[in-house]
Amino acid sequence: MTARLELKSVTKLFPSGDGVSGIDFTIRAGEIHALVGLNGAGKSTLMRLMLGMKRPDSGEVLIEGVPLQSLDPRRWSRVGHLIEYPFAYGELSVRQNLVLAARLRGMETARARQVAADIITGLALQKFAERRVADLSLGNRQRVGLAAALQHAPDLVILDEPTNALDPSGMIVLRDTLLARAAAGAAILVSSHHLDEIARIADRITVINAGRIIGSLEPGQAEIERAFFSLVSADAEAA
Amino acid sequence: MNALVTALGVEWSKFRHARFGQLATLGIILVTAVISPLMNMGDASTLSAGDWARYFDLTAGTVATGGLFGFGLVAVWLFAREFADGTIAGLFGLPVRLSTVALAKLVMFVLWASATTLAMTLALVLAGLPFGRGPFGPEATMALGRLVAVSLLTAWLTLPFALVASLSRDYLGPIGAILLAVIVSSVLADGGLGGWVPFAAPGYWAAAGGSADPTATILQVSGSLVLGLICAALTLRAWRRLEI
Repeated sequence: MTARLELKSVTKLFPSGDGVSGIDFTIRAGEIHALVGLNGAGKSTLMRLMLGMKRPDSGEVLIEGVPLQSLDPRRWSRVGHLIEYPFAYGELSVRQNLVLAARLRGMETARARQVAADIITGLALQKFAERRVADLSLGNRQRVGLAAALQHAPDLVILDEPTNALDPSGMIVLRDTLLARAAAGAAILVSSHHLDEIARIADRITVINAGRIIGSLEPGQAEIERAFFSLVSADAEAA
Repeated sequence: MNALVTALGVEWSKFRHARFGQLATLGIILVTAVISPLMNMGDASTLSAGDWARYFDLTAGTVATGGLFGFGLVAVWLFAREFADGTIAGLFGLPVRLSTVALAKLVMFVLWASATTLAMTLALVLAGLPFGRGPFGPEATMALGRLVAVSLLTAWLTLPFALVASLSRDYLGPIGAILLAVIVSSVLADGGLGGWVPFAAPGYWAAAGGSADPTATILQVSGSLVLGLICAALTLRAWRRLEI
């Protein structure tokens, strides 16, 4: 499978000493790659580096072989992401927010309206479509954020804790959507604390600890949480 | 250019649906127009204005100070809200660059301030009509032009607060900067610098009315324009280099 996104020896350290160092990482077309780690392990930093929200101290981030700093801006129209907060403005309705997000991905207004309508159905948001986002529950705001990240059929998807605040039905809808997108050829990276949920959909699971990649887990393996903590504990003892 | 048009459309959509934007616009227009009756109270008010020219110059003085808050809060909101609401992360990784988003915010702010100034001026004229201020001669026309210019210059002078909002990434820093600018400018201006203090220049121009020294006024206004321009450029630079 082709590497749609690749990190080569990427290091980003903050004055506090936290950060990530020497990271080699790939997200391939047609697969769901999960990134797991404890709080503060460096998952969010890594994802921010992939999206240009942070610049590496050293190393390279490449999308289809092109370094981010040289990337044609139009390439970003095929990337979808949700990092930390849903991209949704409280004063706008769900539909208005989605049209706005699609417009920012370069779509004409008519096309933006169409993809917004499609994702509203796809993620079961019909009931809330005309409500202001400020009036929605946290879980439904998260759904709006996911809709904004996925509506334009991106071929590279980066989601930080996408199941945050989702109810069980939301988690099922998200799982089915991600599996369908990966089957259609999208490269997907998700981070999550829900190892069981990850194990159900991921093709690869990479473990990060203290800013370094320390190993991987088999999606189908039994006792995945125990295996995760064994890896992390062994790393902490070795450090 | 397409990216800027898209970003402008997005900014306008956010602004026109936001209660804050609606209230700020109405506030600037109506509060100013409400001053009109106060200017007809004769000796009972220090704001009394017997003719159109004095009426516009007095209003310009009010706008020069109040506008730093009115226009300034909108400039702050446009930039700080992306950080406060957490939407800034969604503005990365787009075909529309961050600096283009920031430019769209600046352009939208200037267009909004211009439209609000025109609406305020119209409201002011309408509010002044019933009180019989005599003929609307050339002096009144000049004063009206001065009022529009003072209002636009005051709005332009709030661009440094957009820069502070972009750097501090919150509301408190730039709101503190507005207060600081008003207080320090007043002290320095009263201390003898007068209209040479950029934030005080519009107020001194308004206070002098038609009797201002043209050369000094042009230099002072130019200083204010340059300050706003530098801060606009620095705001774009801050967004181009932004990391979160």
